[in-house]
Amino acid sequence: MQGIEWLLAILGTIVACVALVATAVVVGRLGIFTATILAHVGRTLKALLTDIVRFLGGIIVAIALLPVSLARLVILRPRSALDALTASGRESLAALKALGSALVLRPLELVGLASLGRLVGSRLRVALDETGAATSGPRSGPVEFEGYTILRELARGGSGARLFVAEPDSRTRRKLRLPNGYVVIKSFDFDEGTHAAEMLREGRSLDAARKLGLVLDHEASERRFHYVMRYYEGIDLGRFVRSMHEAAGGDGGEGLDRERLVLVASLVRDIVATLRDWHDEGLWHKDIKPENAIVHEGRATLVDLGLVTPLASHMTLTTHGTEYFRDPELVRQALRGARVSEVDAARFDLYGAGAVLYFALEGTFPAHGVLSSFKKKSPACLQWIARRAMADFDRRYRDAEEMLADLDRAIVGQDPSAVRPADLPSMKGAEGSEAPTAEEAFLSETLRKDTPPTRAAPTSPPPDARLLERPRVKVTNWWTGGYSVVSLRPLPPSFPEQSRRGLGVAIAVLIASVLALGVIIYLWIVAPDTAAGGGIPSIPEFADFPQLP
Amino acid sequence: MATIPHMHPVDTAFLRRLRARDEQAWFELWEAFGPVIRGTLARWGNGRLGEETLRDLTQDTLAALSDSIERFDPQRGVRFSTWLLAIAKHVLGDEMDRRYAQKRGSGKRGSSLDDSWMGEARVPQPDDEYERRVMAAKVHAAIRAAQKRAEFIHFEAYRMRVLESKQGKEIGELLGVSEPTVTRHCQRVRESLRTELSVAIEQWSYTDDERAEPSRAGLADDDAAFDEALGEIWRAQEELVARDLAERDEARRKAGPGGGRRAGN
Repeated sequence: MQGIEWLLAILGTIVACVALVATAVVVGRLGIFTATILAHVGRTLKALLTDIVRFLGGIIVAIALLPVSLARLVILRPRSALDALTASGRESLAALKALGSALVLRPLELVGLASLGRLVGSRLRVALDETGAATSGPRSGPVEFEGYTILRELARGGSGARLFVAEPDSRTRRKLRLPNGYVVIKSFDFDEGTHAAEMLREGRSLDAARKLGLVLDHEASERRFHYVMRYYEGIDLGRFVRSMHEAAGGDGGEGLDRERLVLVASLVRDIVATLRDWHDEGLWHKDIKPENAIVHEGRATLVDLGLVTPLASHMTLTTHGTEYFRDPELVRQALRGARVSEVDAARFDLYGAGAVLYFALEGTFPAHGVLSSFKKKSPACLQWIARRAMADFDRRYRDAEEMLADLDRAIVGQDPSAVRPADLPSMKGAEGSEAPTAEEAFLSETLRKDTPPTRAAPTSPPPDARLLERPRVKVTNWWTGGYSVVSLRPLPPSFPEQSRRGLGVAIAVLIASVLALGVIIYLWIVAPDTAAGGGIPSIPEFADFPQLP
Repeated sequence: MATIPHMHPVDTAFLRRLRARDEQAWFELWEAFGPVIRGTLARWGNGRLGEETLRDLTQDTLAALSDSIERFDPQRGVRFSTWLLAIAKHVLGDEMDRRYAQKRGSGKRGSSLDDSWMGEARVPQPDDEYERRVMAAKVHAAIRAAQKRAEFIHFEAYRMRVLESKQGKEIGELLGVSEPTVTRHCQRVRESLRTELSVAIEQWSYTDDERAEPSRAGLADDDAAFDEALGEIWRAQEELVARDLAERDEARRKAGPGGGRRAGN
């Protein structure tokens, strides 16, 4: 019995320790949960307070503008009076919006129905906007698209088309195979000023975009046609980069820090990877610029399909594009009257990608093309890549894949400053370079072993490991483009589920430990007493059996 | 010491291309002198000329230049820069006439320009900054031409040396080549630059004084002086263009949204 008691004692100690740890984990998790709830409540209350302040401010300004309007009317300035009255109405509308937000949205957010709150908010905004439109004068009328609920209208693009953010209904979602998220509907209407040439050009782009799966749905009628694309909530790369440079000290020449450099280079990498896929499909974008890339969840997505053209097109080149991001060679060839199929038009996109990289590093556009100097501090290898992409037509990167390999090499170690231009894959065997010395070969081999290999074959999404290494950003102010870098190694997207599962496991372990502890205590203390004093019938001893005669 | 050869300007291939309505030649003219003209017109306009108007007037000036190139008599001894300025002044004068006519005809108030410079003299008086800009534009055109001819790595080596003042050893380390190789790369680019500079200067210089400008700027001296002078002009030209663009952006900002940046035909 002595041995069994010792065994039970040891087991009891172990189980008690496990129970203790499990209790600590449960208490810790509950603490985190409580803190999260409190933080959520605090945030919601802060937002509520902001709404109330906005409401009060709007009402005060609206009321204050009324006597101003009256005074102007008295001094016979009816137009100014009307302006003041309009401003008063605008302020009232803003105050109403804030009140609606405070009364409807915030309570919903407080009880965890944020998505429902956002939906209600969007509908409310649309409704109020329409009310405002009806009261503030003539505007392009509201439009409807079957299967979609319009949430809001975006600023018109260069082609004159109207852009709407919309939510598909459940049937349309199934048809589009889009389980979540919103869509953008680009609508062309002859009655609203769209010209036939723009419509034709967009139609050509539409064919091209459908090939890439970028267009989800489309419909044409006699006077109007529209197509549907996935909507990416975010800010354009131009605003994003400018905000980063402002945060880094503006035009002081300091440039971005390492983390931000890797981030912007990663975003340009996304653009180049997209270009590679497009070029492989025989298309070119033709208007690469920061404003045409949306930063969404730490990644850049190329948008604006207005000028997308097949590389094999027999149409004459045009000089469309954006100043400073458009290849001068494109202009030369267009003036020469060259056809698209006669030139390697994909390289025009590479010029744009190089200009975007320059913009990302400098915070301004390259006014002198490849001759533009870098005023801010940035790694030599990234400067090299930008210049190489903007170099003369025959001297720039052969294709997007080559540029992508260089960008990967520059950012893969998270420290582009440690990478020399000579280390870039495109420099191997380049004219003017020399065979590496034995020491260089050794260093190169060591570096190769220490760093993940750059991708040899093209694949659309970057490797998962690289995704995890990528810095993530959280946009803190959509209006100003403010953001914060979240982490160099972000938590995987499934973190919340894992967290909840971890809590469940801890509770299960705690319960199991308590049960096990109970059993051990019972066996140790209660069972021996029972065996000694009776209560539970014991096995009859041999002597108790009736003796044989 | 290197010297810049003299050629008769009107016989150059470039001018023949301009006369033959070669659009690419016109584009090169635009690339070289567009920023100078735009900057000058913007100064004269004193902020009252919109970006589109400035672009149109610059185009008109260069179109007038290419139209009148055959009528120009280099024997009269007028500098190219002065001639260019005279054309720009003429074009702006036409624009002012148009605006005044619009004002008289429509009963609307036309936008006025600061025309005080018109009364200063019948012949336009180029100031130092204008002359510097024209000279820098010629040098920049030569740099662009040399960059197109040179291998990418050669030109980058030279750029690092001249613009970034990096030492040969440092450049060699960055590019993975030895220091003597960097020197060879730089020498090749320098020779190409001297050649292109002589072409650019001859194309756009009509007087001996204009032709002597590169020598006065140190561009006909030994390699070190050449590099130093070229780097200085290169940087100055960049700053001038940057200033023009900053002024343009400021004007855009004041004008508010609506100025589409996408351009094309």
